[in-house]
Amino acid sequence: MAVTPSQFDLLSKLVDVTVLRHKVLSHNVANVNTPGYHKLDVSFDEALAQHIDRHGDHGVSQLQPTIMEDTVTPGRLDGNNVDIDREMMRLNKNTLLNNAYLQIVATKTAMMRRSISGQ
Amino acid sequence: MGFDTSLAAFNISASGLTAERLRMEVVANNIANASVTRTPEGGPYRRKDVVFETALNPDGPAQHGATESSGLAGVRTVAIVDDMSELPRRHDPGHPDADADGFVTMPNVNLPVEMVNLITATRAYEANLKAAQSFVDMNQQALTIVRG
Repeated sequence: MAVTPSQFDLLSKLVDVTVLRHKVLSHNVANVNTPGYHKLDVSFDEALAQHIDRHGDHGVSQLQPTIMEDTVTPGRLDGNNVDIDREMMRLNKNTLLNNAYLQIVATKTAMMRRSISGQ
Repeated sequence: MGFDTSLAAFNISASGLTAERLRMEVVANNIANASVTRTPEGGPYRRKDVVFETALNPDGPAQHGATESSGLAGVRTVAIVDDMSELPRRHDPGHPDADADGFVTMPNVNLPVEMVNLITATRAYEANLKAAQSFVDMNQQALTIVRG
């Protein structure tokens, strides 16, 4: 029996993905005035959903997120297609998700700590 | 994973802050020089513009299809260029730099344009700051695991 609580692999992967997505979104925000820049995005959720359908949460740590360049969305006159409001909202959402995942990990760790010390 | 890679999101936001601050400085310089008719290069002042480009780290996977992000490095200023658009001429015979016909060649600074650039630069600066702040929040939350 594994010592660490279940879903730790899944949670750490999800945290990794939110950190990666944060980098990508801040990169978009930093390039909001760069002519010809196409916004980037991280795709992971679909791959994760497929993996969980087939294999459950076993081996999720091998799953890799992918950075996608969005060349389809029409841009401004200078060819840049970053929508700053959208990026900021996604940044907020991503931070919230990251907080939620980390809070779950923290709670599980606290439970473990309590059961070890027998309180 | 070193100091620079694990906290790379700070560097990305910082590059955006630096770039937008530079843009604000250039705009302020344009406004300050809006009626300057003598420059070291000779002739009236020409308005300056900054050129940005996407900064990518050469030793990291960067763009489309990559599974890591160490290649992303935010934005970089390539150059500050002169706006070569036509310089307006104003009739002012009393001006010391007026030509034989009484016309003075003025800088091609357009105040409304500069103000719009100033506002977009300010907003973009705030957005970058917000992104850096979110990253602080995320790291604070991660620290709660260690704190227990």
